[in-house]
Amino acid sequence: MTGEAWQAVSVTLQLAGLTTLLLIAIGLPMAWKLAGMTSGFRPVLEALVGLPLVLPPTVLGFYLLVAFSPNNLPGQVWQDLTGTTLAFSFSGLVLASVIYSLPFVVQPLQRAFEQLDRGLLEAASSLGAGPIDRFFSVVLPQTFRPLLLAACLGFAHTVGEFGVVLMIGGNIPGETQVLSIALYDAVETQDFASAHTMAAGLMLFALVLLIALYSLDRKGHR
Amino acid sequence: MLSLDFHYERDDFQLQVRETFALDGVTGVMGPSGCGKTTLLRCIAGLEKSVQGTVSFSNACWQDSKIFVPPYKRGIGYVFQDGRLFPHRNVRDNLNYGLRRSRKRHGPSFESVVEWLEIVPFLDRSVTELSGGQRQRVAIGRALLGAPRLLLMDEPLAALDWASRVSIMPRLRDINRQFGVPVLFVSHDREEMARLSDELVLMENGCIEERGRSRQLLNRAQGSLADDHALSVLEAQVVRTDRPYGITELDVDGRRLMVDQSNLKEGQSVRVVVPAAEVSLCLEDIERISVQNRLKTTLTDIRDIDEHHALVVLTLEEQKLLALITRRSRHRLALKVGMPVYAHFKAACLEVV
Repeated sequence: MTGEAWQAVSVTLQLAGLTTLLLIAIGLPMAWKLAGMTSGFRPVLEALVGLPLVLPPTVLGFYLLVAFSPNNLPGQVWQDLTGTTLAFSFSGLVLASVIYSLPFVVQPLQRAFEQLDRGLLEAASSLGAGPIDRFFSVVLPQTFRPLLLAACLGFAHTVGEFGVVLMIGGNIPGETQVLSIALYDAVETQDFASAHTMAAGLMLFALVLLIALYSLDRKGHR
Repeated sequence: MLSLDFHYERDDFQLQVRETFALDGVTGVMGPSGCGKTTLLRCIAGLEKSVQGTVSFSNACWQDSKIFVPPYKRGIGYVFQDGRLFPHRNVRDNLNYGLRRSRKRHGPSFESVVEWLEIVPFLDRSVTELSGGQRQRVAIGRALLGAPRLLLMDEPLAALDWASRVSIMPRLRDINRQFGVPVLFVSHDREEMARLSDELVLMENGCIEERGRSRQLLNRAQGSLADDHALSVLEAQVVRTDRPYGITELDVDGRRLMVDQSNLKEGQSVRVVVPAAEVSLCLEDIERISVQNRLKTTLTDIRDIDEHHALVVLTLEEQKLLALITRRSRHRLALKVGMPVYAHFKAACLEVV
């Protein structure tokens, strides 16, 4: 594999890693709120979170590209804060990936929280455990498996994204060129040797991860 | 002291309470299912949010129009009907959960609680391997180790089989004496209440109907408890345990009472629960009869409670005993207030706690 391909591997892993961390940080409280919500507003929020599941990635990518432009508010705010632009940058990619992979993290977590026995939380509360204490001593141990599942799904889905990255990330080697794009490039330039290696690598990664996920899931149901 | 003055509403159910409890010993809250007794307990614990009014416990305000102290800051213990042990922790870690979070208060030691509840043999087992009775004992232990200032118990025996109930019941009675924690105990079971409670609160349709000393509320021929399941409670002292045939001799108001229970100690104060239906009346003292307990009493009250039955209140010296008889017998024997009457009941029908 060429140096460029290795760079793509590195960018992909960094992007997926960082995105997964952010997804957990954002997705956990979001899923918790949604699971406990009773108002009629809940389906609307659920639909918003689930949108990337059904939208063509290019639609999402297009709107993000528009939003990231320094001429529009989100892009402008970012530029004022950091002095850089969001479009065609690694930060922009991370932001887009978080939005794009959000349902893959929020949905399994929400289901896990909905199934969580709230009675256990009441018991913990009666024994003197505050909300944060309860989260770490009851909620996390009770939902550890779904949490791991959600993190893996978020990671895998970010590695596998193509359309959104193409729209907003461009193709800057070492910065925004991820594996799926590098593969596309290799095919365009008829470098089939590289294309084979990268395609096979991605395939193997996806397969191993999915086998791990499904065996984890089975253990959880036993 | 627990002062309650609040209102709670959910769907078409309402709970309205304005009451102060001294909370010495075991206070029992009894009523039919759906009367709001569990909700009352949850409101006191702070587990229901939409409570309007005030809740305060020995000088500390737990709730009023501005303040809401969350359950974890109230210093309570709560034993749920379904135990609610943490499935991801073993027995020991479940017990430690409360202990670790109560370091500031002075509570019972781990050793004393596990020995008293006899859960030492399965401390390192997973809670999913426990029987119902074992689970409930662990739940009680966990709550006690949290060093509660008030222990709330919501039908802790309802889900258990008879054998488990019998093994836990004496311990519940003991909690207050052993650890000095006031207990508020909810149940729909009259016999449980007769055995355990010192003070009794009767609830109906989200309101407190009546309250008083358990013995006074139970041992009478009127009120909501005067039906064909009526029972009376006698306070007794153990006099002799070495009688032949495994019989133990008790003293009630200077009269001898025989019970066939062998685990009692001489000098011990016990409580005897006598179902009114098990007591029959005799106007003269018959010696040659298999029934071992024949108490000389004075008939002090008699009331017809339905078409067929009458409840008779029999006074020993101070204590009262209920007998359920048919109205036909009432007229056949021409029972009148002030008559001397012998109360007969079998040793085997008695519950001693």
